[in-house]
Amino acid sequence: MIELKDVSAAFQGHSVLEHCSLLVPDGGHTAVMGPSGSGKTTLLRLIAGQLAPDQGSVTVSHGRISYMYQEPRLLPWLTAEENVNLVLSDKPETMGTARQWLAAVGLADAMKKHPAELSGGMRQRVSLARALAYDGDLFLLDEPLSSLDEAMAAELLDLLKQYTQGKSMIFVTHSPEQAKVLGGEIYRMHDKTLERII
Amino acid sequence: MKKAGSIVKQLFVILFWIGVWAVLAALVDQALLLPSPASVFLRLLELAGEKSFWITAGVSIFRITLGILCAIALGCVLAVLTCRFSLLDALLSPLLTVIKSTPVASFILLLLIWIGRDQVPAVISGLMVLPVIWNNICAGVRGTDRNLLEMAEMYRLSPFVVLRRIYIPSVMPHFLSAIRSSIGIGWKAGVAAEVLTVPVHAIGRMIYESKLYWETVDLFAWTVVVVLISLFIEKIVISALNRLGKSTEERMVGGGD
Repeated sequence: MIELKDVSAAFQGHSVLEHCSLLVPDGGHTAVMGPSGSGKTTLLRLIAGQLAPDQGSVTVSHGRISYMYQEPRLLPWLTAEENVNLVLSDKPETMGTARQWLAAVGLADAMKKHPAELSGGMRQRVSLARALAYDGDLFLLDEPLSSLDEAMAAELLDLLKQYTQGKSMIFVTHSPEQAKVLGGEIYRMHDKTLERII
Repeated sequence: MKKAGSIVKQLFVILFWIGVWAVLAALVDQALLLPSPASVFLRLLELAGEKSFWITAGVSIFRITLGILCAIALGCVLAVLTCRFSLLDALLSPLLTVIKSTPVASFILLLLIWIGRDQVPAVISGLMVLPVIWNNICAGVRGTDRNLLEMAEMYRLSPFVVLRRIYIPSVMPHFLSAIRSSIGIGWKAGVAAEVLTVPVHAIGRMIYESKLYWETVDLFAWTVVVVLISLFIEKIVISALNRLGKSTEERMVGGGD
């Protein structure tokens, strides 16, 4: 379960969130929409424990969190498969699993490539494969499909929906279509606070 | 073809300057002041035929290399510790400033008083290399991408994996650059220390004795040995390090976001 009670938070001295409350039950899927700079990433960072609230409380009952950052955060000196394997064990025994996840996101031909050799969308998919391979109880996905074309985004959305059945997920997106496809509740950031739409 | 042209050009430059030297030596016409390249070359050949020459050169190289390697190891340890503990950083940074700003001759003479003369060249070489390694590794550790460390924390990577996969590759370009810029200086400072401390079996001692007995041909021959070893260090060791650094950089260009 994730519970935010009357949370306010600032980033670099500027108030980003004010009096936000949110409840995501175990296995619940929640989409968060809103314009750039409205505090969506700050919300995920609070839930991930990477930022402390200035006011209010954040309770997260999940042990393992698969966090897909807005920027891929891949190690530039490792190949795509090594980047994914890093969160499995970083040992050869789990490389097969890493490759399976890369194939699942459509990167079967790019496993041996370094991030510098991949396009922005491909890097985003490596990052998604890494989050899926880690197999968290909670998925925090920050605009995971933003650099992908529609067909690929739809395909991966299906994969996400299928894989995260029974797992909690907070999905930040600009796209109302993607938010609807995932099911669950939909919130939007408005005036520094969370407003439930559906 | 391009490489062959470059070698020919380099050979021409070397021959040109040897020619200049030969003309000057002929003009001066006093071997005591400026021996000819031919006499120096012949003396070098003579020396190369003596067992003691190889022992002297070998011991000098071993001694100075040992000093440099110890400084590299110590520099790595100190850099990690001072990056980790700010109090230690505050305590040790004046030491670093003292090492960097004190004239090397002062250190040589002080060390001559404090420790055995055979150890001074190694310590001096190390002192030249230590601050460069220490500074650069600190810069590498502090410059490590915070986003990657945050990601590592989120995915609960073990400290060993974080060290192996994030810190070491991040620090490596800084480390290689430190080695590139300090190894030659360390070698030359070590020989200078040998000249002042005259330890047994040392190129510096041979240079000192050549000067003492006015054997200018020997002085030139031993200087050529120092230059040749310097060239070896710069051309072989540094270009190997450059290749290693380049292969790391090539993989990283434009990557990582």
